[in-house]
Amino acid sequence: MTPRWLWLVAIPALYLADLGVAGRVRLVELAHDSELRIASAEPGARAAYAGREWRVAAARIFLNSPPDPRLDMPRDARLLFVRVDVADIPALRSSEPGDCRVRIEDATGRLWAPSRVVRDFRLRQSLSPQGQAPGCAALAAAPGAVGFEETFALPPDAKAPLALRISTQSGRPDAIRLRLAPAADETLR
Amino acid sequence: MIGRRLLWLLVGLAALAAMMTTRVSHARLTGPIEIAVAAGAEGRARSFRARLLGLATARQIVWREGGAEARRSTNAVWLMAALEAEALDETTGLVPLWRGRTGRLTSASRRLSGAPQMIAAAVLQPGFPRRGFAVFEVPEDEIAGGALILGPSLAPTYDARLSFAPPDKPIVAQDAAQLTQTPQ
Repeated sequence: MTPRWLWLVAIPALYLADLGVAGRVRLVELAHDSELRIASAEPGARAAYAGREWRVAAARIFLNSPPDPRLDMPRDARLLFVRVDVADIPALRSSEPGDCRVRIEDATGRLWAPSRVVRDFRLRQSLSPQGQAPGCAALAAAPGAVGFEETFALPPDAKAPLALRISTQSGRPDAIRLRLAPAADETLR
Repeated sequence: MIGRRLLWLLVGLAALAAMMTTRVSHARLTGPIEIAVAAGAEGRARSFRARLLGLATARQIVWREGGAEARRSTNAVWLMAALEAEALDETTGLVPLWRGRTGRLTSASRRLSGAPQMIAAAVLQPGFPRRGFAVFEVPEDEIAGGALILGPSLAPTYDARLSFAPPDKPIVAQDAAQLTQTPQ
C-alpha cells in the first residue's frame, strides 16, 4: 500500500506545471522569434519557405578602398548587394510574410542586418539594373512574383562562404539559409 | 487518526502556501542577469561588449545640426556617458539607463533627437566597434553613487545587462558641452 504522505510529492510537480503553464505564452513568443531549424540551399537554388519560393538572383561585393563618399561605412568595410526573387506557391501559401527578417551569415555564424549605406541615388540605381525593389519588409504588400533588394556593410574579417538567412513571422522557428557565391570583389564606379 | 490526517493536511497547505508566496514570475526567471563591470574595464553580455570611457556633467548641451547650432538647457544636470560598444554575434541595439543613488532608473533623454553620436539611436553591427554618448537628464544628487546600465533592449530576456561602476577619475563638469567631437 502506498504511504499516504506520498501525495506531498505531487506539490512540487504541480508547482512546476503551474510555472510552465504561466510561461507558455512567453515560450511560444520565444519560438516565433527564434530561428531554430534552418534549411540550407546551394547558390542559385530555389528554396521553398513560408508558402513562397526564394532564390538569390544577384549577390555582389564592393570594396570601399579608397573610401567612396557615396557610401556611409568605414574605410575597410565591404558593401554587399543582394537581390532575391520571391514567387508564390499558391497551394502552400497560407499567410503573409510579416516581420520578414533578412540577415547575412558568415562562416563563423555572425549575423548582419541590412544597412542603408548607399547615400547616392544614382549609385543605388546602378546597383539595380532591373529597377529598384524595396526590402523584404515590403513583401506583405506585394503578393505574386516579386523581388527585394538589401544592402549590407560587412567588416573585413567576415569569413566566406556567406549566406543569406531569411525568416518570417509565420515561418519561424523555421528559417532558410541561401548560400551566396558572389564573384570577385568589385570596385564601385 | 483524525489528528494525524489533519496534521498532514496542514503540512500540505503550509508547503503549498510557501511555494505560492515565493513563486518567481516567468518574466523574472527569464529577465536579464546583471553583470557588474569594474571601473575602466570592458563588459561582455551575450550579444554585445562595451566599455565606459568617461562621465561628464553640464548645464547645457550644444551641437551643430543642419548648419545651425542646437542647444538644450536643463534645470537638472545633463549627465553624459562616453561609451565604446560593439555587437558580438548579431546586429543589435543598445538601451542605456542611469540608475541613480536612490535606485531610480532614468532613460536616455529624448530631448536630444538629432544630436550626433547618440548610442541609443545606433545600430551596432558585429565587427564595427563604435563610440558614442548616452545622455541623461538627472537631478544632481542622483549622480554620485549611481551606475550606468546597458542592455540590448529595455527588458531583455535570456540575456545580460551590464552595470558599469563610474570611472575612478572624477566626473568632468562643464557649463556647456559640445557633442561634436568623438568621445575619448
